[in-house]
Amino acid sequence: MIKYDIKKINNKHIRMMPKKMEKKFSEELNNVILKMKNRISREIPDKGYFRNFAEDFENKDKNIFARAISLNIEKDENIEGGALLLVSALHPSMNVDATSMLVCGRRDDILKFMNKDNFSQKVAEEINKLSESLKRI
Amino acid sequence: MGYQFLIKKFMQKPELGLNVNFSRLTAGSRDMDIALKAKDLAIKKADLGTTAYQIGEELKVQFPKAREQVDNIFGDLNSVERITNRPKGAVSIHTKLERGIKENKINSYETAVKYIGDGIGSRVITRPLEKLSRAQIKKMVEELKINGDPLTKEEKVLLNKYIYNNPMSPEEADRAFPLFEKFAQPLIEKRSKQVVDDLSLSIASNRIKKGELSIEQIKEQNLLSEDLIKRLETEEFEPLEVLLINNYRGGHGLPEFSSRQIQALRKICGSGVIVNSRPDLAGYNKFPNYKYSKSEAKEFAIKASGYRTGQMNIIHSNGARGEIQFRGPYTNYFGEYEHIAYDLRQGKNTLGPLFNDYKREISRLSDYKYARYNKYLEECYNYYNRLELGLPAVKPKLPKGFNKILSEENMKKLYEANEARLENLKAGFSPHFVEVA
Repeated sequence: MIKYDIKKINNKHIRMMPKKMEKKFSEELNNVILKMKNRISREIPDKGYFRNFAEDFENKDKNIFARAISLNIEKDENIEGGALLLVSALHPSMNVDATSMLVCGRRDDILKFMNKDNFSQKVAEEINKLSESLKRI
Repeated sequence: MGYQFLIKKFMQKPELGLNVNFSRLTAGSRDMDIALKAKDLAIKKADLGTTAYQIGEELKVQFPKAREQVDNIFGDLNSVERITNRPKGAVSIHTKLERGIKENKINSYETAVKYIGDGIGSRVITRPLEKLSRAQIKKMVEELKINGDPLTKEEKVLLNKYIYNNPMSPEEADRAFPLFEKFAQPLIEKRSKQVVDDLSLSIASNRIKKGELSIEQIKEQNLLSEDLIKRLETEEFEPLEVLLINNYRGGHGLPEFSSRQIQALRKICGSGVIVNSRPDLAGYNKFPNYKYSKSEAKEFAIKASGYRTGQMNIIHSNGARGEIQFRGPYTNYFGEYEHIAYDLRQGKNTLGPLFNDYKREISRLSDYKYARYNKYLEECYNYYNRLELGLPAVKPKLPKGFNKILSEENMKKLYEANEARLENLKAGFSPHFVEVA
């Protein structure tokens, strides 16, 4: 049972982007993947503390039921130096998001996984699943 | 006088799919027709009630095995007070199918079954913790570290004020809550540790059985703690497939499972399992370009009624789809009647005559007042959850300007009186479903 009143989404919560700046979904996704690869290389140390971080973009694809998409790194709370790479979709109401894990491990394990040929396709498949899940909320 | 729900004679299971006659689709109708495409593509007709009834009958058959599975996983745990299980009833299935058809999610009997994700509902009620003494609380505050650092003097004062429910401004409460959440994390984990451990082992067993994972991979990737790996190697566990995890809570509410526990579950579930979460008052760190302003965060926080439960959509080993909810006993009981106000605002009118005065009062509330009322309900959830965690708790009072009929105490009375009334009605009641030619 979920108790959000999505009928009352206020327009002020919708951040619109000028049309000329709109990019295709796949371009936005690849852009975010690239940014995350760079940040993972830079920000996850071999040992010691690091902050969770994320890169997101506004979704303009009408086939995907989400306000925004994000790739994010969550520090493994049980293993030092470990991290989880997650993909999240933000509900249009912005009251809830759906997230699934892409891979977990140390920095190099995550980068190796991200460098595989079919990585962006896998992320796109996960986003579709998240979108379907958000529609049911 | 009783009610009779008449349904058409049982029809054969459609093989190819359901096509909806949208021209006859009206919300809440009991006789919505769906066209059934048979193998020979001749159009046959059946009503939605029949489909719902048929799914309900199948659930009844699947129910004993599914119940046994949930009982096997959680039944022997010391921290579990009781488990309840039920198959979804035909009327409830019918309502849900209507929604699925409108969303264009149902195009076959199989997708209809899939859409009824919580066909078998189970609740695992975990025991409350013993009440903490002042000395224990003081020690916990002293030892609390955030990102490796102890709290500052000012943070300790703020946290203590929050723990002991001292009056504070909303701004102070917003600053204190993240500290309180960290403080309460060990208590949350203590209450749900056994449940999360055995759930993780059942998920691991299922993935090993399906060939997705091996014990070696679990060790290599640190997917489970060493003691759990040892148990996995030496004990048998009931395999369980998890599809979706929700860890619901209100704006200032504590979740059933800590973020560390959710992360551990996420790891053993692997990719493809979705976890839904709510923003906290600090906003989404997952969406850096979508941070809330303070006023927006507050606005969202008071819209929710504070509904809290750990919830999972699962597939039982016999293929039945189910939902398991994890709660404490006090929040569980409050949850039984808390949802009444929400249902009424959503236009659901399934309540008996005892609720007429309550209904009238709820319908009179402006949006602003309803938001304030929801805040009161959230405070009630937090009060009962504090009792479950052994923390100091002060029962919230209905804010000024609201009719006493809306108080939590009165909701409880109405709920209990209605339950007693329903029990009486059951005596000598004629069958709910009468087959007609």
